[in-house]
Amino acid sequence: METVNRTAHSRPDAAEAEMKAVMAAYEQPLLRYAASILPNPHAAKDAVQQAFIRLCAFGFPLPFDPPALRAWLYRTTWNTAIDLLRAEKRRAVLHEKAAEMIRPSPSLPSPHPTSNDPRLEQLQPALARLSEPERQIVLLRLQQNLSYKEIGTITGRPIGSVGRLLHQAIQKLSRLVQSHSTESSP
Amino acid sequence: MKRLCACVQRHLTAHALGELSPGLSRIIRFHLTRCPTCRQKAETLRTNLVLLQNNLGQIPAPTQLDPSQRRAVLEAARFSAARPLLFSDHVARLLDRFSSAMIFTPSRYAPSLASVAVILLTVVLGFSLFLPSLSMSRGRVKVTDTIPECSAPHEGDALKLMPMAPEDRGIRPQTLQKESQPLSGRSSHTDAEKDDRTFAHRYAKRAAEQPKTFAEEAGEAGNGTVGLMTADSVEQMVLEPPPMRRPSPLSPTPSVSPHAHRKDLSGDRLRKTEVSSRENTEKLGAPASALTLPSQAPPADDESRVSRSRKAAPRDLSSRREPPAEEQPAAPVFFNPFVETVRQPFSTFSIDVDTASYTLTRLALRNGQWPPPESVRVEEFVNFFDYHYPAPLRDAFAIHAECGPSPFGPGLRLLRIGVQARRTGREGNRRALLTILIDTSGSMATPERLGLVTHSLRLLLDQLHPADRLALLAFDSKARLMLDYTPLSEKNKILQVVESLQPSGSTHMEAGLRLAFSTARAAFDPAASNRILLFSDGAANLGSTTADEILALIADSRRQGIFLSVYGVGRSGVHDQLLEQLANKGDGSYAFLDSVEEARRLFIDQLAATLHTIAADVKIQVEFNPESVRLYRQLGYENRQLTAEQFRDDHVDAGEVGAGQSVTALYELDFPPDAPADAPIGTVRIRYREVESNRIVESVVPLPSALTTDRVNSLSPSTLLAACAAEFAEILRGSPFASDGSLAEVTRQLQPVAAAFSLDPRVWELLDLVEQARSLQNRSP
Repeated sequence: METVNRTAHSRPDAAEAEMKAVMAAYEQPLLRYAASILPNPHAAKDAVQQAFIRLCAFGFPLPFDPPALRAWLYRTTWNTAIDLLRAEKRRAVLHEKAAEMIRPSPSLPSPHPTSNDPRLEQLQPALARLSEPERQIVLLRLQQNLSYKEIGTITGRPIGSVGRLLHQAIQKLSRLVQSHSTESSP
Repeated sequence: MKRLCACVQRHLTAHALGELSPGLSRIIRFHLTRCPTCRQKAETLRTNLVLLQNNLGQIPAPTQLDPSQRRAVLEAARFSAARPLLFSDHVARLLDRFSSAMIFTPSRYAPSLASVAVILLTVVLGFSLFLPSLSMSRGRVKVTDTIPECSAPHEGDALKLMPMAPEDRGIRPQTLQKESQPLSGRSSHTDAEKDDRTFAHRYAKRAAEQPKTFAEEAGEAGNGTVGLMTADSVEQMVLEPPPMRRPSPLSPTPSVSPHAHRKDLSGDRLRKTEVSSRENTEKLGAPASALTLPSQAPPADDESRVSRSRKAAPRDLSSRREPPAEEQPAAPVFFNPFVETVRQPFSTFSIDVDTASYTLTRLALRNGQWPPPESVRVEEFVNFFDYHYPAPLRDAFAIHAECGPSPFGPGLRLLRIGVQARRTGREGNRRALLTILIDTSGSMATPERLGLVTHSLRLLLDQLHPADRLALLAFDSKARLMLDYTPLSEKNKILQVVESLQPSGSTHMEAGLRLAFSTARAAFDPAASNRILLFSDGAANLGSTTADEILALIADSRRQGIFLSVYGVGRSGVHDQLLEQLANKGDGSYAFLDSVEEARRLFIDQLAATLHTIAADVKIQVEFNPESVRLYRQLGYENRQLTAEQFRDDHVDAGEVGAGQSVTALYELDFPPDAPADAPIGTVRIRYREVESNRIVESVVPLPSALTTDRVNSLSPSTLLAACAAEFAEILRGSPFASDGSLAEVTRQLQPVAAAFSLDPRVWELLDLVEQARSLQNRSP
């Protein structure tokens, strides 16, 4: 107990500084990542906050080297975001009345603020129609620019599987966007 | 052959992303030179990848957590650090990490993994029983070591998410579920949520009743998994608490390292993109439609394409990866894509008169560093130069457009739209009410920072009119009013205060701006031009440190008509993004003071523009005629894009223009081969609020119907200069559209221009900088 009291003053400051550094490095990319998964920006913020809070539970200094920390953060953000999505879905099933107001599934167009690029408006619904692993890998590779190897660590897949899924997903995305544009053009 | 094609096509994505081994990618490259079908597929795929990358990067996302959320996270960090790390925490950590790897990617190996975990745990526990102190000091190392191995066997992978088998749940630490309900009926995800919720509560409780809880928990940890724990061993461990300060496996500066890695990645991305989209434009004809029409066939063939894009690749590798010593987190670098006119004939953007990006890049290149790509903004390069557009006599703006063959994009047209504001001298102007806010934090304590600021202020004081009034404020850890509004007739008094500034303390920019705006608001003079001049290196570290938060605090004052000019100083570690955003959203302009000459340019030559804003919220909309323009791409202005509807929405914030300033926008256009010669290219609309009368004005100017000229050589020197500046910036920024351009070509095009502008030292300086960049590029491997 003696030791605890002596060190308790300096440790929280060091922990806060360490956490600030982590947040400075990962906050923005993680928010963009979460915002691409979740239908609204507030939910994205929630997911990222939860991931950071979970990270704190490991104690300080954090027991990760930088690549492991990145992999852990991306994995946890994804899991939290998917949890939020599913919770939303469950709630929608329970309250059918509320289902009209809440966006129940990721397959519906998201109420993100519209952008001035028409292709972006098609991209988001198309992205939501990919399977979860496909979406995760597309975002990690093409948005977050992580290598196949890092993606393998995050998703727990071998590199070959990452490559196959990404290839599949890109074919699918091109098809989806194409069919969307042919539907909407006449 | 067919089988080979199928095999190659499977690997095309990895090939385009540069993820294949050198041997395999050589085989694929060779095959692509032979097989037109595969080549066609590869081209389409590459275009799609670039477009996807661009578009995914632009998905709207919040840039920051809410302040309350940030506080909660930091609070949790403090909390977690304040409690001692107990043995059971080591167990919990191990299991937490193991389960977080497990839960969401369950595999058919889960049962075997679980047993491996149990064995591991037994080993760890056994170890700690017999050698408690040793295992304590090594516990952390163990955690990091074992986890990658734990996740490795997942490689069998199942695509779908399966519910966890009950025996898998058994491996979750019992300690974590102490306060939660029984397991039945809950999915493993909610377990994880629960962990978070109970985390703070659990530790609060533990902090209160230390030894007892510890014993309990150790017992419980033993219950769930291994029954080796005895009361004796527990006591032994209480007597011997774990070391408080453990060696950190993180690198000594965790704040730098993750970021440094990101920089590497962004460099990688540039390399891996490898594809020149412009090339696609030429050959494929329709890159913007490639995503929507992937089946559209590019005209087959010619070897040179493959070899040329390969030639372009090594250049992309240039020394772009050297991150400057201290720097803020890199923002992703965006590029405006080619847009199909049929789909979106309107290109709308807010005007931007800033020039800081050019000055910062100049500084970096002169110091022998390649500038960070995200700080290179094409529009600021283009707008740094004076193109001598004739100024209007009565209207606020004159528009000068020219269209001709693009000097850097073979087969494309270049459209230059120059907007020139009316010139008014300082004479007969409204008087100025200036609030000068100076950053006097410790980081400003060098001659090129605070020293240059005082020098600039002396220049400014000499230029001002005796009737102008000026207040001086300074901020470091606190903000304070140094001198209330004083007419320039008492210049000596002002100078005394300026000379007395002493740097010390941290940077509380929020407090500074808040005080500046409230002071300016209290003294607001509707007949004068009210302006705040902020001098800072942008290294805000107290209070709100992001532009959005700071601006939200001062939103009311901004609406009243107080403008903000931001002047960045310093040679390294300048937080360029913060300052740029402040000026961008805070109705102001952003310039960077890197030398006495730049100070003279800003405070003597362009003082009228700085002090006399003639139009606010200036927006430009170019409407292209789909008959004569098939694709267009705007060069730069990435963070100034507006939607077509926002053009007429007068609540949308846009750029401000001072007297005599000019703004130039460039477009690359792709004409269909059968374009009618006399059809107009389109029209330009400009909409702004006149500051003096507060009137909203919109005017329309048709663009020339045919090409002004047919040969690159007969383009006017000013258009060529703009094109060179833009190409130079695009190369520095790493634009995929400029990956087949070269600095040598920029020099070649720029030389005759420099001769035409022989009296303007800035053009010669540009030529010099291009050479400097070239020598840097050659020096790097």
